[in-house]
Amino acid sequence: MLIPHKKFNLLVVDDELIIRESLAGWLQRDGYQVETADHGAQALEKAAAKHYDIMLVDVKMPEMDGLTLLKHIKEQNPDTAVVMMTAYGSIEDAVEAIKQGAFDYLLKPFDLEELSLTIDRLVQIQTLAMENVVLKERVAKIDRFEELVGQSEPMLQLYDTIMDVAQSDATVLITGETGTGKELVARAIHAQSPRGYAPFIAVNCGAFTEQLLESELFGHEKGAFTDAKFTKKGRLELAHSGTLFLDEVGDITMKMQIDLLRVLETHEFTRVGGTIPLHSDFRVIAATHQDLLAAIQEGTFRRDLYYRLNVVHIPVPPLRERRGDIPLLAEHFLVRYAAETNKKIDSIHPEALEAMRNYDWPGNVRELENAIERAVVIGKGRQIQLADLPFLGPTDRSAAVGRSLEEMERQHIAQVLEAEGGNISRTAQVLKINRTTLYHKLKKYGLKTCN
Amino acid sequence: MPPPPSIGLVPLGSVDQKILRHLKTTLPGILPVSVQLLKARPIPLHTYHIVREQHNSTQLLEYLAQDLPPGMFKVLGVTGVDLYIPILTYVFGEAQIGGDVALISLYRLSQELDGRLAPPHVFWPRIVKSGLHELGHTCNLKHCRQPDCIMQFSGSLEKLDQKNPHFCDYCRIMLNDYLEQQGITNVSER
Repeated sequence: MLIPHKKFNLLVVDDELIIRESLAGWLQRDGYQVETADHGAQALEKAAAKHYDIMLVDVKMPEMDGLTLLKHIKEQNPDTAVVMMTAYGSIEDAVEAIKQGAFDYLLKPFDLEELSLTIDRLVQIQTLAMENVVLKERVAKIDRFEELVGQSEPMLQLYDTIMDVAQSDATVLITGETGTGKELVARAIHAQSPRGYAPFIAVNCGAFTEQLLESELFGHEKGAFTDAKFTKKGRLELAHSGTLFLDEVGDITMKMQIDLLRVLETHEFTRVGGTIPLHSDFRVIAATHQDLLAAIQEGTFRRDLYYRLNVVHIPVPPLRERRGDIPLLAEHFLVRYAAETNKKIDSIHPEALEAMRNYDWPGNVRELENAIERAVVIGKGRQIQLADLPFLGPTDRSAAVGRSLEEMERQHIAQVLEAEGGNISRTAQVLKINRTTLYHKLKKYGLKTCN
Repeated sequence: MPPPPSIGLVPLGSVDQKILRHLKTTLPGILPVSVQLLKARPIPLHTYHIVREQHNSTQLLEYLAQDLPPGMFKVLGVTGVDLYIPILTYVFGEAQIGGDVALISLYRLSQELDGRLAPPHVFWPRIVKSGLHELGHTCNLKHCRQPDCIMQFSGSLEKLDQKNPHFCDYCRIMLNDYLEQQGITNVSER
């Protein structure tokens, strides 16, 4: 016997009061939370403000008929299962509704067993779908948590902080250089928190334009702008009961900072082009590689938003401050990429390991990961050699002494560029400069990229 | 110790006295109540649907609730006519959730699965189980998903016959909570 894990919300849409009342009354006796709507527009309005797991929709209604309503629901709330209700005369419409995505149809008046079976079957399917999402998320989380590798003192302290912070609902600001694994820390906090079974929704604030970020965060109504062909839920809505991870939060515009601050204070917002206020219960974890205090001084970051985000501060150490973890991390990535590329490489030559240990890794763990991936791809034997890590070879620090700053910069850019396989974006990311600056420097030093 | 609360049994239309007496003696063995047989009331015409040839159960419940006999904890109506609610083809009974009145129909309970008249050993447990189920609703109990609980939904006679006339542990606790809220203390399932 199916025992639903949560209260299922049902909406009965029918223009006849007597049908609405008798059906809602019956379903309430089954323990469901039931609401009613007497026409299609009201149903859509309710569905925009609240999620319904199941809707029972009459086919024949004045103004907006059931089929039109079904179409809107499928656009607006694709997760809602719709059961059409129809009289004997309109079976063709019901069949058409099935083609358009309705779950089933019931002929009015329903047989007791039939109604019960249909709803039970739907609840079972919805419950399984929810479980599937949760399990997928859990498997993914296990993978990701394993990636937080390290046994050095700074990492052990970090694990302790994660465990402490996870139990509270406080907003967390994670800072650290690019490639240190800020998102992994955020995911670990989420996984260990009471919200761990709910979604972890990540937004890279630096990757979107202001308009796109607004639409990503708040969602939009159909027709809100030229490309808004469908109503779309924003990530704030998707993060309901879970965690919202705002990566590169230092990159957002002042306007978005104001909008974001309002949402963080009230947890209420409207979709772009919408008027209905929505509420979402989420925990916020933000991350940045920028110095936000400096940004406040420069007037590019709001002080009130900073205090709102910086309730708990977790600095993630750069790799050069935990060199003891380098062999462990290298081994971890070696196992992964050897398996991915199906190559029999199972160790790292002590000389190569020593060079890795001495290198400063300006791109941190991500740079180390890229280096191992590349070495596995180009490596010929069963062991990674120093030659497989060419950027480490010329780390002749003594030779650099006495050279000009420009010479050192040229050499460093050339090394990172090679390590990143000539990829401009990744090189710029590792060097922590933007692509335009990198192009200028490449031109200045006469360096060539592969592309 | 205060006397157990009373359930008023109201025949709607003509109902065999043997059936009413059976309910009167059986229900107190399962629920902490006493049962009083009350005067029969006629079935109002407006509850009849001429096309469906059935009576509207919700309207009959409202009719029962309009003139509640004093001193009754709950009222259980018993009728021989076939009942429906507008969205369903038929119902065995209906009750106001957390309300005063419940109703059962003997019409379908008296039939065998093949349409013949059900023998007493089949029919009598059915009326007790239906009565208990509907009275459970008046005590705020919803349909239960525990197997073997009287509050489990049964949409067919076959399923009704399979049920036992008992509340599961959860429903009994909730029933006791309800009774205590109503000021009826020291109750437990007998």
